[in-house]
This record gives sequence, C-alpha cells and structure tokens, in this order.
Amino acid sequence: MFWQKRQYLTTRFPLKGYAIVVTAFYGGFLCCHLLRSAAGFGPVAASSLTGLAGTLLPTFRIVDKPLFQAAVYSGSFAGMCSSEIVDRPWQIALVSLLGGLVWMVLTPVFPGVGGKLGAIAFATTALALLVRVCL
Amino acid sequence: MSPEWIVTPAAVAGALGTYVLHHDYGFGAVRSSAVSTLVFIGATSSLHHPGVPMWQAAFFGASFTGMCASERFTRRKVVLCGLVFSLIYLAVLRSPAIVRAPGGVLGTSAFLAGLVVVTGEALRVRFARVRLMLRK
Repeated sequence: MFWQKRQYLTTRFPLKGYAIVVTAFYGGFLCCHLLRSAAGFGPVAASSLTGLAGTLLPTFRIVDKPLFQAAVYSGSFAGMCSSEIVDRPWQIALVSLLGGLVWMVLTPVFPGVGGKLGAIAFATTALALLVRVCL
Repeated sequence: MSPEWIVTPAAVAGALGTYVLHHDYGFGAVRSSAVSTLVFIGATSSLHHPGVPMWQAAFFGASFTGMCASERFTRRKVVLCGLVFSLIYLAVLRSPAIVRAPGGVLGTSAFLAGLVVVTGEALRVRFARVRLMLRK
C-alpha cells in the first residue's frame, strides 16, 4: 500500500546502531588487514583472531555487545579481501560506511540463518569493487 | 590422491564443532566460530601438505553455518549445511579470480548453504502435506 510505504520512509534511521556497526566494522577490517599485511598471518587465521579479539574486548554499557562482536567479525571477513581492492585507511573507512548500510538492510532478513555476516561482507566489498571500477 | 576430498569432512567438522560450542557449551556464536577455527588451524598447521590452506578455509567457512539459531537448525540440518557448503566451496574454488577476490565469499557460500537446507526442508514438508491430502 502507498501509505504504508510512506510510513516506512518516515521511520527514523537508527543512527546509534549504525555508528556502532560502522566503528566495529572498521576496527575488524583494519585489524584483519594489519594481521595479514604486517604480521604475515593467513587470511583465515587473521579473521578468526580478529573475531576472538572482538569477543574479548570490554564494551560500554550503551553498546549492544553481540551486535558489536558480530560487526567486528563481519568487518574481519571483509578484511580477507585482496589488498588490490581495498588498501588505504580512507578506503577502509568508505567500505565501513557502505558496510553499515548493507548491514541495516540485510540484518532483518532470514533471521537465524548462518553466514549472513559473510554475505554482508561480500556485498560490501563487491559494492566497493564496483565503485572502484566505475570511478 | 587429490586433497579436495578432505574439504567435505573439514566442512562438516567446522559446522558441527561451532554448533556444539555455541549451543551446548554456551560460547557465543562469534567466539565459537573463531575458537574452533583457531584450534583447527593449530592442529593442521604442522602438516606439510599443499591442501592445508584449502581445508582451513573450508573449516572456517562451514563454521559460519554453525553460528545459526538452534530453533531453526537441528544438528542434522547443520551437518547437511556443512555438506552443501563443501559442494559450493569446491565450485567457488574453480571459479574465476574476480569471484574470489572480494572478502566474505566463504560467508556467502555458508549463507547459500543455509538457504538451500531451509528451502529443501520447506519443500519436503509441503510435499508431505500434498501426499497426505492425496491419500485422503
């Protein structure tokens, strides 16, 4: 229905959740990227170490812990991508902003199915690749 | 012997190991996936075999299917997810580099495996209902 669509459009954007997701995504991406490029870890070990570190980090009370951990892990999956696609910190920041938007769209879909974090990471890096090819 | 046949048991072990750590031992979803993968990496890194990175990636990718909700996936379905994931992963390995370059390919494969199992289950239930109706 048209009025329902209008109601959907006027729903407030969850800015706090978006900020948490983007920050955690950026941290996860950067950590995985550094572990791979500077410390010489393989992509699988770098991503799982990042995920484990994300679960051990203390968080503030206002931050939803499972959301933060999942976003860090998702960022680390995106960080497994080839360094030819994303390499510089500002590119990682742009990818994280995109990742936050993809997260907001995909998280409510298919609840309880595993692999959604990786699908978010894939969609994000594929979008970044597309933007890079187009520009 | 081709190292690819070990992808399937590694994937099933990854999916089931993560599921057990997550739901039976109360680890969080993220921590159970990360810990099980690190244990697998520790166990296999001493093997001098060219297929080891592939097995580790298969284990890691399949561990995402084990991060699912227990209300939606039983242990049997998680094993099925691991099997389907290994098939998708083997197909991804043969795909061009442009498909494998973005991060999250393993997670997307795991997500697809989960969707295949959920859809298969829904179809099975629907066919069972139709069969019952036809019998009546």
